[in-house]
Amino acid sequence: MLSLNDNLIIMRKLIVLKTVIDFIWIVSCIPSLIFGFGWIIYMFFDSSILGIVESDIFSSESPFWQKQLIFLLIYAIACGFIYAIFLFRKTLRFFQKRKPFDDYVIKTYNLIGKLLIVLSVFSTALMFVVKLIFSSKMFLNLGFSPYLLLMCLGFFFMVLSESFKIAKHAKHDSELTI
Amino acid sequence: MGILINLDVQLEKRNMKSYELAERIGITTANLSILKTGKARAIRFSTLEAICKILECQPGDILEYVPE
Repeated sequence: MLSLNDNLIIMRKLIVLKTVIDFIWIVSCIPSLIFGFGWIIYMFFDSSILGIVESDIFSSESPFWQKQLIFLLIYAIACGFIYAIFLFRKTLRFFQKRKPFDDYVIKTYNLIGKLLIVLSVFSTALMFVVKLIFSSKMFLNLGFSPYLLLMCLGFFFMVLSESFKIAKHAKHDSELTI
Repeated sequence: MGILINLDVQLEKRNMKSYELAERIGITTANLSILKTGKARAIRFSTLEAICKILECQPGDILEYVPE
């Protein structure tokens, strides 16, 4: 059994985590979603706006349709990440209600894990193809890259989901031990 | 599970109520009900000892193995 002091320490950490995730959600995710959507719509009506964008991904001479396609794919990937943060934020509420082993948390962590793995693979593939087409370079970052770390994070979430499933079973057994 | 709990029979023999046994062992009536209905996954030696002490019986009188 956890003491009252231990519970307070856990709750304090949970509050800090929830605050940071809420901050990211409000300051970063929602504006990215809204402005990103606005940008995607606008660039199809007025493609000249893409001329102001400078990136090492594609050159300024690249045709507009290619830039539009890349922006569309980047926006889709960003939406996937935002959805993962949204799901994680929702699971934190279950921790606050002291229901960490709820079925929803277990299923959601598994989903977040799969989502992060798919997004990291998709991002790596996209960057590889874009560099190959626009810069004629074969570039694959297998070192300390954010994509690999993201994939690890995805697998970690899946492992966490399995661990929670085992813990739920153990908790159930413990409750039925007289 | 192939283990049957004959607590009801032992209680009836001694003309004792469930709540009375639960009170004397020091567990809740809800937990005793879980044990009686066979929903329990495990039983602690301390609980079994307390039941045997109060009902003046052997563990074999309470637990019975029935092949499935």
